[in-house]
Amino acid sequence: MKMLILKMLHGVKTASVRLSRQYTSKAKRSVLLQDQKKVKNYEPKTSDAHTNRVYVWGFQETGALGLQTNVKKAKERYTEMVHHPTRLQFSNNNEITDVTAGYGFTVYAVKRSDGQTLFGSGLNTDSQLGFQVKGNKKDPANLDVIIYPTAIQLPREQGETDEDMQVRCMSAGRAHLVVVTQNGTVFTMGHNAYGQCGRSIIEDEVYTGSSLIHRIAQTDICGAEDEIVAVECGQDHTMLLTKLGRVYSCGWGADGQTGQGNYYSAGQLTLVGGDIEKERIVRIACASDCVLALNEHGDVFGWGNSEYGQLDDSPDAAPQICTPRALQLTKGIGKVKDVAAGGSFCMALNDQGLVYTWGYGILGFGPFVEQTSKPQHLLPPLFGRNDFSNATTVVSIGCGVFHMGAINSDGDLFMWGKNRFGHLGVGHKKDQFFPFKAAINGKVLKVAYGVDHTIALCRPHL
Amino acid sequence: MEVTLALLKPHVVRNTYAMQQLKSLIGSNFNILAAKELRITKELSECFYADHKDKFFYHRLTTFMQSGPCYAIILQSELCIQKWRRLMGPTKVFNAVYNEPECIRALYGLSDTRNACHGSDSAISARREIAMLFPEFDIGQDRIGAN
Amino acid sequence: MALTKVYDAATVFKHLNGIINVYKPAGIKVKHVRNAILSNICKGLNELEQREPRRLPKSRLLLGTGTAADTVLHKIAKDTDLSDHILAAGPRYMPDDIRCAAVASLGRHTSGVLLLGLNNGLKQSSLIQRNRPVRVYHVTARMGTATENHLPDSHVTVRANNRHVTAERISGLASSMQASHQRKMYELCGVDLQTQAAYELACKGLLRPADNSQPVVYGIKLIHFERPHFTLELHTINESEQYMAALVHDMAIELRTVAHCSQLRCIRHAHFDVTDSLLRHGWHLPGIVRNMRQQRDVLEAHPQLLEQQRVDLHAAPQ
Repeated sequence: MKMLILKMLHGVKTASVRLSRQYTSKAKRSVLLQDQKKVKNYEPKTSDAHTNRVYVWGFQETGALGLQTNVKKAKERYTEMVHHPTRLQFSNNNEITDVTAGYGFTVYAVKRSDGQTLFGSGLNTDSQLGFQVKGNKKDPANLDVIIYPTAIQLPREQGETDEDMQVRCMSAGRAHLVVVTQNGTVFTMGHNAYGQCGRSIIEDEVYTGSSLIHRIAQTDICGAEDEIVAVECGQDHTMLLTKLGRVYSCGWGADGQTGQGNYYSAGQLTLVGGDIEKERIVRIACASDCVLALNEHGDVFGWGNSEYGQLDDSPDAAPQICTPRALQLTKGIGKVKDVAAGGSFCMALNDQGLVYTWGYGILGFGPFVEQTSKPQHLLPPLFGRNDFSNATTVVSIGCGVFHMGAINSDGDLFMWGKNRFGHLGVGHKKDQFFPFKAAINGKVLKVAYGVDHTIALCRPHL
Repeated sequence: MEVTLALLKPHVVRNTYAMQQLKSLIGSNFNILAAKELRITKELSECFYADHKDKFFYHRLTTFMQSGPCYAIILQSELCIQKWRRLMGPTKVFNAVYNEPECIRALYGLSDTRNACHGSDSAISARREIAMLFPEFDIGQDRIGAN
Repeated sequence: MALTKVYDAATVFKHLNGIINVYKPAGIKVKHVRNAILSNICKGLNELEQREPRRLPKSRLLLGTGTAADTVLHKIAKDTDLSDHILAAGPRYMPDDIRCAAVASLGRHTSGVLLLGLNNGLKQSSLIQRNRPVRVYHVTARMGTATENHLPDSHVTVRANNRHVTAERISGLASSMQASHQRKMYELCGVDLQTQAAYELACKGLLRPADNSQPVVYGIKLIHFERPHFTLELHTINESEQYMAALVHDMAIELRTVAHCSQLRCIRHAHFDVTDSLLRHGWHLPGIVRNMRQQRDVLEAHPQLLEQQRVDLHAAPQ
């Protein structure tokens, strides 16, 4: 009996000791005892050869986003529009260097080992993406809509290398595409009813299924001592900018958007005169029919459509201006660094990083659709400046026909305006009345503003 | 029942998706009497838009109409002139996108000229425009006469 | 007002109202910090001059024999209430006598600024709490190993290489995350984006969330990088230790590696800075009283701490 009690006591004692020790350190001990050598090693793919990635959003049915790979599958999960910026699979496999967007189509400049330099997807009803067929060669079916980026064959002359065919700059209009390659050749394709392809207009020309890609040598346009550095297309016209700051234009001039001093359509690239004749232009911007140009001193010039007071604020202002003129209404905003012109509004960025907007539409000042010819600036906090990042400024601006965007020094894209088919990328269908950050994982380098979709070329964080 | 002319403008005809949507919209709202794709020539467009001859956008409008094939439809329904004009929305696309974001012009229009579609504004002009674009369509035996 | 030395516990206790800023060590819970502070306060108070035991009431019923010769009676009449004597009643001040609450809690692994409201300071502490001020953290991550709860004291789940991670990449990712979180704050501030009010708020810059359910990160900045460790400075509201640890983990995944959070330090809570924080060896009554006076000055310098506008946020200056 005595023994038993002793034993019991003993048992209680050891149990209590062990219990308390276990209680405090079991978790710790099991962590300490863990054999870390046996832990699985995570080896993610870090050597991504492609430095740039592309995000796309907006209207998907035209195929301009290039997100679908299978028509049948796309029909099953019906999504007419993509509200959120979505990573383009094509950019994971290809080194994309430049993007541009037209009405319902997108074109990518690509560096590839197989020599293809130009890819496009979207509407091809005017052969703006070149001659694209499917099926066997004997009985080809023309493709009206291309859902995944497809190579556009640029016709080469003898001796032209892959390097020559790399894209220097490009731009897309409503239904035409202009590409300038490294060796200075201008390629145009697509709709030419106004001469926007830089060739003479042919009555009743059929553009569907056309394999015609027009090429113009740089020297034929601007001579041997100058070279083309940029191209900008409005909806139905084309403008080329040269190193010496000259502007050449062709296409639809019914609003004066070719700046040729008349309202005719022209199929011949011609030097633009007017107030910019003696100026060295460094940038031209146009999304629709209103054109803004910027010279090296930061002065703004404009021509084309001015129905909403974009170019002239005088009471008897003409709705159309066919000769470039120095703008009076931007005189007060200092030295301008960047300009953009949309369908019914204009934007300018001055050297202090302030974004000015004017015209008609959602200008970024709250939920009132307004018309003003007086440029007003949006406050820097709207573009990400705050107590935590007080050096952030806007570095570049751009706009489509209905929406505007700005990129700040941190590489964030801010968008506002009409949310046509979700092309603001803010995650819903509602209009956005002040600049709002698009959710993109990467630093935005360039944005192509289409009519109802948007494409952003980005650099990943890693 | 009234009839009216609906004319889908060149850039919409080129947009396959927009065409599809518009055709189904029209099909569900109206009785289609005739439809065809046609090219509007310079003479025809000048004649068609003779009312706007003195407006600043006349040249713009006529050249635009010539830029490609259009799609013309004769619609028939109760009060179809009003009904079609309501579906189309305001003439100016830049106004339409803010004021009536669901109308055809707000969805598929690109600018005030490229405003997606046209509709006759009265029974008289409907008759005139149909005669112009559908010379083969026998308008006499039609019920416009009842007006 | 000239400062006078006080030797009297009751006077000290009477003035023991306000906010104190304590440096919480890592590895112990807020509850334990609070208990330690309170017991140290009591210890300090009990060492001061105590009040005399209560006197017995003057007119009392006669006890004992009731005669004038009754010595016991005389003794009692002269003397105090013995039941109120310290030796009978115990220490004058006990931890339960002091009301105390933390403005916002910190996790067990977190060290740094912990604000405690004492007695009438509870009012202030709840006002500060309702204002949801920004807290600033230095969070150190260790790349290479991921753990179960993203904190150092749990099982390692995955290992990975981190040779490819550079400071530039981390800061690039940090700035992008910052912008995305600032976008999120519009959704949490309780204002409809389609209104003029939303535009006016957006022009002001930063917004505070409408309730304290969702964490919001206002600033992320890389401040130190030394493989395999990197340190981020986080400005947040409504955060928790677990949230920040998960954030570090997610960042590491984005950087194509894995990491866990090895250190968390709160260096500022609103305007209360870590440099004014009371370290553990200073957790005694004089230190606490001095600290409380310091924090009172901070509150006087920044009255908006107690009454802020509804949604706009003022980040405290450095």
